[in-house]
Amino acid sequence: MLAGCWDERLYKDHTVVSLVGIEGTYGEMKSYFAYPELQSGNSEITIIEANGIDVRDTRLNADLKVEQAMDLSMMSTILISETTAKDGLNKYLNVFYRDPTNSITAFLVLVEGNVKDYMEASKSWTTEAGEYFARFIRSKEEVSIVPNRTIQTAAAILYSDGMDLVLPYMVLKDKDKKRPELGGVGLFSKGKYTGRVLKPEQSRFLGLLLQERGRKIKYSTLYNERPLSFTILDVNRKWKFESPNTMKMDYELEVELEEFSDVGLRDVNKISELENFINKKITDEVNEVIEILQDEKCDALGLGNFLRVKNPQMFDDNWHETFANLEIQVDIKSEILKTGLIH
Amino acid sequence: MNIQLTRIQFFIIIFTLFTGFVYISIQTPIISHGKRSAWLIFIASSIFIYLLLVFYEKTYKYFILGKVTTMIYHLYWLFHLSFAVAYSMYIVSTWISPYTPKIALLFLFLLPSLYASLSRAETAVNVGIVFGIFIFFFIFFVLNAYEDFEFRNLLPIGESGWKDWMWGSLYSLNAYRNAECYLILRKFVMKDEKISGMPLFIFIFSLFAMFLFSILSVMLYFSMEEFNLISEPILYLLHAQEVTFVKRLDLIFVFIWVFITIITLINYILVVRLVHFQKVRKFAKSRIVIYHLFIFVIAYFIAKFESIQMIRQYYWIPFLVFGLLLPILIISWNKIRGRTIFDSSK
Repeated sequence: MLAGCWDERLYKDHTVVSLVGIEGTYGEMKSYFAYPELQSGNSEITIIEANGIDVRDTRLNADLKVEQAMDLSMMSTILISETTAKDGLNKYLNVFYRDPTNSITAFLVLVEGNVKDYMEASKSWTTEAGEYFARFIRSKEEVSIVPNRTIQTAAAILYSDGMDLVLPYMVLKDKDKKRPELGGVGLFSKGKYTGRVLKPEQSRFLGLLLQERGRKIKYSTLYNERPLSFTILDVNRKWKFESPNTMKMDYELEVELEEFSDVGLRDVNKISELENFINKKITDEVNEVIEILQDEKCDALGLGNFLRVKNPQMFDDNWHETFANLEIQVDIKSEILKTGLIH
Repeated sequence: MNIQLTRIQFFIIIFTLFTGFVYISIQTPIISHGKRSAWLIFIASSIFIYLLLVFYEKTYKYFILGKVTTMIYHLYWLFHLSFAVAYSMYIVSTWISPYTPKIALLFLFLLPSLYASLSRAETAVNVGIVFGIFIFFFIFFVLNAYEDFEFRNLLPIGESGWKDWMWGSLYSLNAYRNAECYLILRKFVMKDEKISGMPLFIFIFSLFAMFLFSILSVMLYFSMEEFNLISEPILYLLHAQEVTFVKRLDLIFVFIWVFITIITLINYILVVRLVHFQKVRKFAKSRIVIYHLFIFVIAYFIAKFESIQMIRQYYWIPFLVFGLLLPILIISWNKIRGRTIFDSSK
């Protein structure tokens, strides 16, 4: 309406990119852009590859290879190589923050190996390349395996000194290299990728610790050599600094049993026995995750922000060292609220 | 020139004048200077503003502009309006129309204002009601981001030192920088309409709530360091929202904000007209056209990043000089002399 003829942007004049991939570091950047193109009557994914000194430069060079101007306003996902992430992510995302026509709700995904393989894989899908990854990530968010990290939500963390970023990490394991799968979440420390990944079975407990709203956590194990599966429906947490170097984290979990091939859940003692088992199991898993986070100095929980509020004098530039040496005591209390249709 | 305002019309005009130009820009200077205590500093500053307006309500009858003070205010308003138009153009050209020429954008803002200013005063008085619809949209869209709100961003308040409090307060007070308009418009309110007491409190509280809502929302959403980069955080917050019916929520808000800016401009020029045409003057319409031409030329030259950033840096001064010190000086001077607006109108 206000744009008039000067700022008119018509679909027919633009190549609408849904998936972007970046790899390399400043001076030797390489970017990939995936967009749908009509070829012999069918819509197929075309990948444009371009080199440049930075992300913007690669985009300008890519523009030289398409008949229309590239448009990133509908971009759903950015794939980032490990080398780029290890060099510090923020500087590579600057161009996405600055340009108002770019989509800053696109998901950020770390990938193992060459970004090109993941871009090429998208050619075999029927859906939009970027949307495929976006839907993939959203479905994993629902079950707490990955946290919600778009360009903007990641920026809020990258610019904060009291919290570290974690990003979904994808791998290509199949022979044909056509179906990427989730390898877990990549850990960052002070804005740089550490090279360490939490496996999906571990990262769901990061989701638990983060207590993201509306997420469910599914878990399966063996109880007395019988399968036991349950869903954590809700999490309530309470964090407290017991002493300057000791952090106490209390979690109350609401649990629904999904599979339990045993009888006798009418017995209250049996239920509390099962709850104790779940408490111990989850505590062990959570402690393992915390140990990895501390090893990598990755404060993905935002304990720094918590400390800044509770004990501001303890929070300083050396926070990551403090975090690595913090004694974190976790206490899990679960309550089985539902057992499904049978006891 | 004379008009009669009801209490509601008066409050709507003042509400528009206070929020229209500044609403998308006040958050960053307040937060980047006040740090994590910014919200508290803003509350303290708003209490001061409430007390100031209570004082103005009691003493508005002594606010008589003489020749010199009228000239000073005219010069300030001309610059202020030119800056507001330049800033609005800058926002529109940054967020939605980067290739539209400056002249076209200037016409976009100034032609409706010129039309309304040449029409009857009632046109300008009633146009502000559009603001109400905007508030609902705005609150709804901003709350869309609640899942990403981080409440720990508001603490600890003890982190801000006295310098943070001082600068945070100056920029917070600047959110209410058009306070002199209250004094000018107050005498046009119908005599049987009650303003002091509860009506004034409700008015200030709604104004304060609107501002505080915007400050809290962006503080909860962005990390403190991001305010060094983002100058219009409300727009950026909306830019980062994903909804099903539109790809860029910020564009809707910028469109609405353009309307609000035009309405504010119309209302502000009404204030200028009320002062300038207190006495019957010849060539009234030509004078209004020339006034718009002045705004056009000044805004054209200052509508660039460097000038706007420089002016914004010093934009805590207008409230102190023109909204606080000068009005208090004028009121005190006339009170000592025993002159009121009722005497001067005779």
